[in-house]
Amino acid sequence: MFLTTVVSLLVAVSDAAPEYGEVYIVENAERQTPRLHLSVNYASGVSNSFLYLNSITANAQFRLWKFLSTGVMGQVIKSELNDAGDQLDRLNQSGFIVNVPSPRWGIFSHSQLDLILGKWNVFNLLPLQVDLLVGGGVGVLQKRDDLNGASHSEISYLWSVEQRTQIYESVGLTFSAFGHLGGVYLGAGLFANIL
Amino acid sequence: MAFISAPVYSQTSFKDIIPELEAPTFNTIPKLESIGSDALDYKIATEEILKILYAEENWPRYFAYAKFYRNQWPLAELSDVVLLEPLALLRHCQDEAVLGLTRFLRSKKNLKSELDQIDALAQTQFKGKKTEGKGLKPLAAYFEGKTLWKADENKVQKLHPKNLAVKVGNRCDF
Repeated sequence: MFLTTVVSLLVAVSDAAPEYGEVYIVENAERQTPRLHLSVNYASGVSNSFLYLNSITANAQFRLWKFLSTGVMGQVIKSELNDAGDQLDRLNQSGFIVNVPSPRWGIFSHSQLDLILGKWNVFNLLPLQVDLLVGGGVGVLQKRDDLNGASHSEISYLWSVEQRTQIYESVGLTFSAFGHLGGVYLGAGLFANIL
Repeated sequence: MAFISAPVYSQTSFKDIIPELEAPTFNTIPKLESIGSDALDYKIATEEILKILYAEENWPRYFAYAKFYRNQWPLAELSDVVLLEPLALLRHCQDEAVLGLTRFLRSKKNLKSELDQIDALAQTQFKGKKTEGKGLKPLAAYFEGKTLWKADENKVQKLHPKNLAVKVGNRCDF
């Protein structure tokens, strides 16, 4: 009886059909970049040795095609001398002419490509969707030659990397790193997807 | 992820689709797929889908349906359309898979002469063997708006294949 069972098991194993290929479960067009995306962030400059750069950015993105969107990003920057900048500025009183250029505001065309989707579910209570987006664009940046000096505008590139975490339906948190001729910034904020 | 295959209830009668089978349109397969697992014609509808996908050389979906067809019904109940699967693998020069599948089919079905021919063709190269149909390209599928999740074949055997795709490489180098 035992031997019969073993033999029948061996026959069943050897009779199994061969496996081939890689099997995928397909989700068809269940997600794509939202038709309209709005976000507001606070961003802090990390690349300037002499200034604290605190800024507010606003971003509006319109879907062009599936995972590609384009829109406009604006940034208003408040510059203050940090300790090193303060010491540098004191050289002005010693007769040295020291200028610390500071960015004031910028407005850029901004296009983004949605690269990665992640979905998590926390205890079935908190479904999270996370997107990683890379983007870039061109725009106008207004800078001052010095903290209190004359201002001028210049054309600048823009690059960005953004992580969006959708927490509840169409709203969530956004974390980003972006840069232009006025410096590199790290930001965090809120977003809302419409349509 | 938990994927539970709920029973599919019939929405379309197979008789209504028969006139389309001579010249299938883009809507024929969705109509055949809407025939539920409770219908008497469910097996026949699946066989018609296999024939259409094979003729279209839509390999990712064809192989998903072929595996489902072989797993859903006992081998003794399958029609000769089961031979399309080793033929499809032949056209991808997947010789080991062809021989393994014909050995499997040989143990249960009385298709000796056809399977012998397929085994012989697996050892040869001939004009028209290599398929021109496109396989599954995950990056291209991404830009078509499809998300692909790699699955364990053993866990998806009973899932309805309309949401599955199988990537089979084309080893023909002639």
